[in-house]
This record gives sequence, structure tokens and C-alpha cells, in this order.
Amino acid sequence: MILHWYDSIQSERKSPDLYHPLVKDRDADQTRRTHPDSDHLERGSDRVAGGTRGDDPVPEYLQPLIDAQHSGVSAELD
Amino acid sequence: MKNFALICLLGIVPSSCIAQLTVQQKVQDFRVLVGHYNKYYAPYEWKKQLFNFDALLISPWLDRVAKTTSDLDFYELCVEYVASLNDTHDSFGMPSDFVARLGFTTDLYDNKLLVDSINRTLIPLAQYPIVNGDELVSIDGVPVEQLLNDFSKYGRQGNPRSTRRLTAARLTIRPQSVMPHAADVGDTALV
Repeated sequence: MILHWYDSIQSERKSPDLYHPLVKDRDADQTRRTHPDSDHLERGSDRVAGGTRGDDPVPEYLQPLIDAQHSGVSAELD
Repeated sequence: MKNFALICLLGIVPSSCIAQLTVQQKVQDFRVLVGHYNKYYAPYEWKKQLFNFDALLISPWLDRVAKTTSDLDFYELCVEYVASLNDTHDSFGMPSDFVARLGFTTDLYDNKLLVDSINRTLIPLAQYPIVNGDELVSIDGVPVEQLLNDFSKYGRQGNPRSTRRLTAARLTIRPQSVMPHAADVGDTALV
């Protein structure tokens, strides 16, 4: 049996780029970041999505671990 | 006239011009994601022992991040990373309100995927003789067992049965907030 995929914005779905999270998020990012109801993961994903890059750098104590692992050498945190 | 010119201009701009994250940005973003788990995730050691998943061993992940060719593929990787924790309380979410749905839901009953609700507005009985209790066998020719395995990262919970049940829900209702490529479904599905 053939069923239709129904979606939340059906008339626009022909262009997948419209649903690209970055396209939406780049416009709304600042609002989202300051929204008091944003939960932890959503705020995290906003940072991932762009617009606030660099505000929340990797903790210094993690950097040696990352560098070591990226180079293939194992390391442990203190 | 200006509006017309603008519309024409937008019409000829290829979609590929929409900027994607650079490799450096993706690597940095992934490091930030890992940084959150390094700083805030209490059961890190437990997950390492129980699932043999070291959330801080990111070298292999960074290699895969660098190889992603689109932002959505990068987000898929982020979903997989968080899902590897097998933690009911953690999932990677994206700010998208897009949801694709087939108009019915399924759940596991005696380890079979059975239809347990139908939106008759979308699926009129006269046109689609599907009823509650029918078994979903495949979607677009892909057996549901394979789909449950392939999609498990979108519904990862604390135990396998819960994961399968939530994943079962993701087969026919696909929110892009947790399934980055949800918008890539076709117009129809063969079930």
C-alpha cells in the first residue's frame, strides 16, 4: 500500500534547504540563546548551529586531552 | 520592479550557495559538544565500563567529522555520538520544527510492530484498509527489523526494549529536531 508522507510545512517541502536547521537558526540564533525557556541541549545545539561561535570554547584542561587523542596518543585528565 | 529583480536574483542563486559549516567549524563545534560531556556528564566512567564507550576518546569522531560533506551529515554524527551513551536523558536536538508523518503509529507488541493508532483524516478507511493491529512489515521494501536497527540512534534509551519502542515511533513520525535528514523522505512510502 502506498501512503503519503505528510509534513508540518507541506507546501514548502519541495525545497529541503528550507528545512536546513542552519538557515532557520542563523536568523533566530540570538533570540534562541537568550530565551529563558531554552533547555540545556537546545542551547548547546544553538552553539553548534552557529552565530555564537567562540563564546564557549573548549575548557583549557580538556585541550591537552583532545590534542593528544587527535594525534593518536592516549592521555588522561588529571 | 525592485522586488521583481530581487525575486529573479533569488531564483537563480543555486541552493548550493547556502553556506555550509567549514571543516574547522564542525571540528570546533564537535569539541564543544564533547566539552559539555566532559564537564557536566556524571556517569562518564559508568558508561565507559558498561558500554565500552569512552565519550572523551574523540579522535575517531573528529576524523569522521572532517569527512562529512554536509551540515546535516555532521548533525547525524552528533546524534550518533550522544546516542552512544545509551542514556534516556540525553539526545542531540536541533532547532527545527519539521515533522514528516505517515498518518499512523506503531509500537512493539509481543515483539511485533503493530499499528496502534490511525489518523483517519489522513488515511481514510475507505481508501486505505489499514486497521489497528495490522503488522508493519516494511517501509519502502526495507524490513522493519533493519529499520529498527538503523534508526535506533534516533530513539536511544537506557535499555534495548525501550530503545526499540521509541525507535518504532520514529519509523512513521520523523521529527527533524532529532532526525537531521527527516526532510529527505519522498512524497510517498510503500508499506
